[in-house]
Amino acid sequence: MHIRVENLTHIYNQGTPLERTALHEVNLEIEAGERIGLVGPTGSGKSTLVQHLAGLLQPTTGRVLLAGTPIHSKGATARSLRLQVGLAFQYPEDQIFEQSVFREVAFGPRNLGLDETEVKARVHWALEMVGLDPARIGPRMPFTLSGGERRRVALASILAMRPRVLILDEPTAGQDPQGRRALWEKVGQWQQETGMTLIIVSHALEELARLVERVIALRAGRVVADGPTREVLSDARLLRDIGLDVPEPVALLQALRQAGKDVRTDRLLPAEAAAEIASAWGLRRAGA
Amino acid sequence: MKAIPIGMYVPGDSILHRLDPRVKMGVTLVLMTIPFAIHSPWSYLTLSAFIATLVLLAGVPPRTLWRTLRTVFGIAFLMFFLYLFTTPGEPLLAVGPIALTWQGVLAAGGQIYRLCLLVITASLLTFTTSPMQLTHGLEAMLSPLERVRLPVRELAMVLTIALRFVPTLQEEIDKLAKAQRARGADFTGGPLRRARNLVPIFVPIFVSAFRRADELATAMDARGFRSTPHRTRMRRLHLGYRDLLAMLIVLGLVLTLIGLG
Amino acid sequence: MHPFIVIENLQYVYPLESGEQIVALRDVNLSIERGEFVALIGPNGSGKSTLARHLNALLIPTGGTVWVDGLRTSDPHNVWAVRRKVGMVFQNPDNQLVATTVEEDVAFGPENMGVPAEEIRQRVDEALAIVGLEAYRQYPPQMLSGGQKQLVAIAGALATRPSCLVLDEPTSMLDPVGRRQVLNTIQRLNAEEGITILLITHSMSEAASAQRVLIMNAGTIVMDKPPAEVFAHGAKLQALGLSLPPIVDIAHRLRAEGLPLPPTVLTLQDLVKALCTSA
Repeated sequence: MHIRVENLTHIYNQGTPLERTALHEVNLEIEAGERIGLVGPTGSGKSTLVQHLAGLLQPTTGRVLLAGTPIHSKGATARSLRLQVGLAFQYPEDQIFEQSVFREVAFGPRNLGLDETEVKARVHWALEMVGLDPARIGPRMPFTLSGGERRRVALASILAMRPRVLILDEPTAGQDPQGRRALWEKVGQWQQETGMTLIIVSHALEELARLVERVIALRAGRVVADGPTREVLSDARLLRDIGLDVPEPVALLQALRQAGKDVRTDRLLPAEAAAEIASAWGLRRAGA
Repeated sequence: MKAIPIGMYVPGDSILHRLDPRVKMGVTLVLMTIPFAIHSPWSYLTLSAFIATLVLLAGVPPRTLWRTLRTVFGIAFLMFFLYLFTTPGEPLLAVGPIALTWQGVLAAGGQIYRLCLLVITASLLTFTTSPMQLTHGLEAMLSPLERVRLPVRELAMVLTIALRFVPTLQEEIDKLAKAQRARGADFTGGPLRRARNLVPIFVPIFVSAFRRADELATAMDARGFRSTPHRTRMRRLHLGYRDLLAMLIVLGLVLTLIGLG
Repeated sequence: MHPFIVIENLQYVYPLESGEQIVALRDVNLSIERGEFVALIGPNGSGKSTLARHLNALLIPTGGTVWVDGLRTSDPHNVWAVRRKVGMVFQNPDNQLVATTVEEDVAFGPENMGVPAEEIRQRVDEALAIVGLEAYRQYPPQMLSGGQKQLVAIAGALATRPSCLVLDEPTSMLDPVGRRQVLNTIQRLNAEEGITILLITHSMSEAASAQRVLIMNAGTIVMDKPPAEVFAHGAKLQALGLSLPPIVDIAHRLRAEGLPLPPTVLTLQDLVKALCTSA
């Protein structure tokens, strides 16, 4: 589904001493099926922007178009469009309220007005997508599950709506490294299987580098960079400027370059950086 | 959810901000009883002038004051019509059994005026006194009751923690409402439907409140909290010359108003 | 002199409602010297937090002994003295601040300990100066960033003048800026104030800045070595679901390519230096 953000400005608490401009004249174009990373420091407007994409906020000025239709217009069309955008907030397990995993995951599909056979099929599909066994986990009470499992249930409850755009806000926050790796892998699989648009808000730049093809950087409510992942995430000056960590492989290659070595600096992953250094040091031919 | 307009603290450094919270609370009580004890127009004029001076001294933005007054519009409207049509007297205008009287107009106007004075006086206290100071003031004013074994410090602690978590809770409710709306939850419709639809918000809120309470209790334990008389306070309240002066001025006002009737 | 913390055969078992016994810690033996900086790493559920809570008598061993500066934590008379010696900082910045302003919160610990008002004031000023938040003393917590809230929590612990800080995943809910703020402060406290640090973390890069890394798995300590030696056990780490910090990872890969790099390479500077002398 094509997304278009036009001159979007959002001001919180307008007309009070607490007034704050969270987004300032943002323009974006996102094609169906793109995999996008959204980066920026706390308070840069990332979470305001994704809430607009899901139609959860009213713009102060400007608008958001989903498949050409303004997302904020009244009526059934706009509502059904909004429901095609799935949004997982940070720590989505905090939103679990039902007494069984099945009912929790079925909440969204039921709100879509689907019949029970379809609801059941979707719940099964969604639980399988997050790596949980529907027969075993479905009847359980959510709060008897581990933190990692609850996170997956919450994500399944969003997947079960079969969104055409999936927005994840720090999907692996608070998980241990093993849980993180498993979840990042899953996210990639969902996108491949469904072809949906994926928008990930995260500070985990190495994981983003493996998953997304385009990175949008925000600072103080404005888009300050928007381009291919390799380009944006190897721009050390930009990243430092907006308060993000420079991926260590990039920082290393830059330090080597400053020391007079002839190396490319746009290598985001440890393996890529090692290969780059190995070839520059004559250990093997470039590209080998 | 919008910020609560009543009780909103407006940070500042005015003379009213710097007064001792106990003095401010006492004076507020006095100022709020006066409108019920005075009758003459001169008294009202004096009191109004006094409160207007306080508003100016406090440096509260007029817009904030207006927003606060607006919250009582509903009640004011109701009161106005109640007094307008139920006060017996000389009819100015009569439609069937309902009569509009000159006395009614005066009474209704007077009540609205009083209500406004009360609201402004009360909000002057909350505008210029942080919740923390209010708690301190309350704790200090109630401390004699510790002799009759009222756990005043603990109550103050509970109040402080409640105040501390109001904004956190507001944020959380806001986030949950959005998260559930993104899953198709609908918070519109009749009251019964709405109440049922709030389950997806309130269940998680309770769950998280318990978790928060648990974590907070652990953190307080780790920081050596225990309910004993050994606890001390960093901040102790001192009455300064400013506070004495304020009390004298209000005493003067009360005497003047008694004189005016 | 005895080490600051001595743990002997610590076991912690608790019953579930179903009557089942959960062994959260078993056979933990550990000693930490005054002024050490120790990192504790391990998967969720491995017992890290349970161990941390034994260090200031929030939990009492069901078997074995924990000594803090020569005081046995299982002796009820020692609880308050132990809590004065060991300060704790927790993961969620929102759920450990109790007051509505920064300075009132920092004062909470000393108030509990019955410190006189003038001295509390002095300690609060000092603690806020150490974490660099003097300008925020009157701020309500909700107006601070996550990193700043954690610094307030650290200041609150410092105000009781502890010799040791135990930090339970203090950076896991923070953004990179907050993470750096908190980590720098912890390093400074250790280097300049001589405070003993136990830092629980999921980040191998954070662990690399410690003098010693403990790895926990299934309720016990499975490795206790300086970072360089820990990182040499790449395969064992992988089996525990842990990954190497990127720089160490790159160094390993280059060694595999035949580049002779010293085993002490831990930081970016180390690696740049080693590479520039090897070519």
